Amino acid sequence: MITYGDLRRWDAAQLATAGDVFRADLTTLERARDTLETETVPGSWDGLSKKAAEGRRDVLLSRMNAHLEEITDFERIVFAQQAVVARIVEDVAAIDTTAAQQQFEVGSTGTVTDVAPSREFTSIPAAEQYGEERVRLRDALVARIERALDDAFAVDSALVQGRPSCVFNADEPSGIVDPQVEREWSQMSEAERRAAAEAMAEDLAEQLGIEDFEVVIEDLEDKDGDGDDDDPDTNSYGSWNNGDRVLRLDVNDLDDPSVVIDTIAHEMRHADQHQAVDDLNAPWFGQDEDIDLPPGATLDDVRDWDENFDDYIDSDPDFDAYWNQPVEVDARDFGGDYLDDYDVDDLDEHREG
Amino acid sequence: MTYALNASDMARAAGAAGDASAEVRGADSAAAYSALAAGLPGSTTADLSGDLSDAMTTGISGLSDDLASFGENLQRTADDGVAIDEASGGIFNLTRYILTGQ
Repeated sequence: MITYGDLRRWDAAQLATAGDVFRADLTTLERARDTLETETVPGSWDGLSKKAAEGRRDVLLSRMNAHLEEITDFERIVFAQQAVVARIVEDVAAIDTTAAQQQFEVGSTGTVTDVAPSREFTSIPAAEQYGEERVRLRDALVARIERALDDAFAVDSALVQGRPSCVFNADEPSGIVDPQVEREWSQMSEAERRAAAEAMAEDLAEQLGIEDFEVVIEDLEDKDGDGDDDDPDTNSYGSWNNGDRVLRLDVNDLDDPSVVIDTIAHEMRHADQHQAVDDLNAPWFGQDEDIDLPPGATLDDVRDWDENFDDYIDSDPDFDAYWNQPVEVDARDFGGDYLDDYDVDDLDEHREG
Repeated sequence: MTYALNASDMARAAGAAGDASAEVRGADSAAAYSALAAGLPGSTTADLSGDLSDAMTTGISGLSDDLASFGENLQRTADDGVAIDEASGGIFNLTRYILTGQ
């Protein structure tokens, strides 16, 4: 997470450099795109092979245009944040200057320490007045530091949320927690985290049409309660039990918002998978079209899940088989996408319950 | 369905696809991601920049390869067209010789 010490090393000029590189690359890509569009299928050519070449060219053009669009969008975000970073850098320098002038020291974690030499006073009121003034100056510095950090997390959040999705490559980094969410979560108590997690699950359940379930946050690493990890080789983030309709979350992961958010979405997706499979097998449905498909799923997916639940593979002893079975792949994608889209407004909504 | 092909036009088209492939290869924005990481130490953006850069380089490289392959196919079509022209020309000459003796 970003610290005040990090902000002392932030550099708006590097964002300007990044913007310049993106713009130069965009120009190059646009030129290549135009060449592809106008020069690679001659007008003198005719016949079936020309049609095939035009089809192939159009697929390539589509990929290039999608890439150009996402890089253009990201370059705009980088450009917009450049000015904010420049202001943050100025603010931090000004805070450090003020702190030095007022005989305070600001640590790399943002803690403010009074380093003024001790003084002697001739009266208690004078000493009290001096003490109050020092507290006021300290608090003013703390407020400025907080504002600089707020701005910095907003910059980071904008860049993370707006990052290119690498349209022509499936290896893009995904399942990333929003920096503002991470920061806010770190400042919440355990009770607040539990409440937000429950509200998050209920919100998702409402979106997915899942009713009558319970959220239980407990120690999933030590189920027998003997104080030792039941299986040190594995980490139990959470589970969905369709029999008792309980979403279980591991209390040991409650301090990590990326795990909590991803796990809740992942397990609620399992609940939705079960619901769709139950619909598929319900005698009163009769028509496959009547099934309320989970978001992004097809009827074939539901049929795959149906077979998969009949032969569900546990992570022990074959972790790879567990990892690659259809219901886990789908739930993992859903959890990662939900986490990617989850921002501080969502968290604030879930904190309100 | 008609069929027409000008070999030199096709060779030019293949060259254009090759040029596009070469241009694209250099536009992976790796330096931009490095600059973001350098400018924002401690941020999630900086943490992600390496993976983003790798993903982009892989994607751009794949696109460049596909453009090159497209160009090679165009060149092959041009070569095949010339061969067909030459073959059909030979048949035409043979037919004319049989019919006219010239």
